[in-house]
Amino acid sequence: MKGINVIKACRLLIPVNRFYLFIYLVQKWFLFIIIRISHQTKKISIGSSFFLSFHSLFCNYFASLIPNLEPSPVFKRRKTEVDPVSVHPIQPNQTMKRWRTKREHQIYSSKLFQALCRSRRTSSSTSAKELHQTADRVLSITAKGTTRWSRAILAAPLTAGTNMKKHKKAKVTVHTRLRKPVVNREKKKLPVVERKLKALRRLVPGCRKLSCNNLLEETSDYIAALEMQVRAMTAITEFLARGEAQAPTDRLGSIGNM
Amino acid sequence: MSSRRSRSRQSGASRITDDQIIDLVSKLQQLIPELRGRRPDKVSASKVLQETCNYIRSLHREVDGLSDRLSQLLASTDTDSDQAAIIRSLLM
Repeated sequence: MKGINVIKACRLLIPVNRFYLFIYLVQKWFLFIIIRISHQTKKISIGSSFFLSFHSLFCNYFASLIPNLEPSPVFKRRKTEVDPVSVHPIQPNQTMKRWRTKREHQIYSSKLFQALCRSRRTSSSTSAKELHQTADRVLSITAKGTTRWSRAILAAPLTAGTNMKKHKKAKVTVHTRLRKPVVNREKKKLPVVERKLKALRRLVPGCRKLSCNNLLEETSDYIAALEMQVRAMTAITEFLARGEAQAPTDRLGSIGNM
Repeated sequence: MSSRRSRSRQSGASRITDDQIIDLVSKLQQLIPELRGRRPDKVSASKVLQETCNYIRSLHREVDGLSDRLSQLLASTDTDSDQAAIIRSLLM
């Protein structure tokens, strides 16, 4: 487990931290030598035990670096590069303009359409859930990885996860019935605003432990993005629905109006 | 508000100041179409947060419905390659 964490950290570190990597490798080598010597002499000296504790501290330092580094998003269907390190916090004023421009709308619509065509080529039937997931992922890509919710959506696993979540929920409800009612009365003492904030945190992906200010930014961006998603998907749906009934020339005219 | 008194009982790590809440609430109010026209002092914080949650949930449901409809449409129609090319070029 430690080894995997360290490898992850090493892969994700930017060039400035090669220094730490070098030190870590040197440490590993020393550790190896000491273990060999202790094996041969059958006793572990004070120095080597000190070294071992220092080594474990260093490993923990590396492990702590990992949550701060954003994982590069893995999107199976396309290879778009999202730079995880350059995170520019977006001002609330910008978010309104950003998601309302026609350009963003066009970018999202075209990407979504491409994704849909590709998915239709690979699998014969697309369920609504898959489509929703695809739309969300394309939306996150359009966000260019600048917001937390977009990164959370891209980092989340594909459809397989949702079935497991349902099982977990069923188990929890059985236990709460067996609990005494005293526990429920204590829970009601939580302030109302806190509870609502908690609910909001659960709704916006990737924001479960976010502070108030950042949550505001994320929420405003998320709402604006969702509105754009609804507009774009409505346009595509209308176009396809109209396309069924009409001739190709009419279809061209309707796209221009979108 | 009684909620402000009880908020001070929280642990230091999760304490949220009143100013932050007011800031959050006033900005959220601008985003939600239902509450945009009303005066900020007339709407309570919990109501704004509740409306935000409801609005996000309704947007999710709308996207769900749309994706449902889209999947049905895609299943029924067969978009062949030259139509797709035309659409893509016009959407760009």
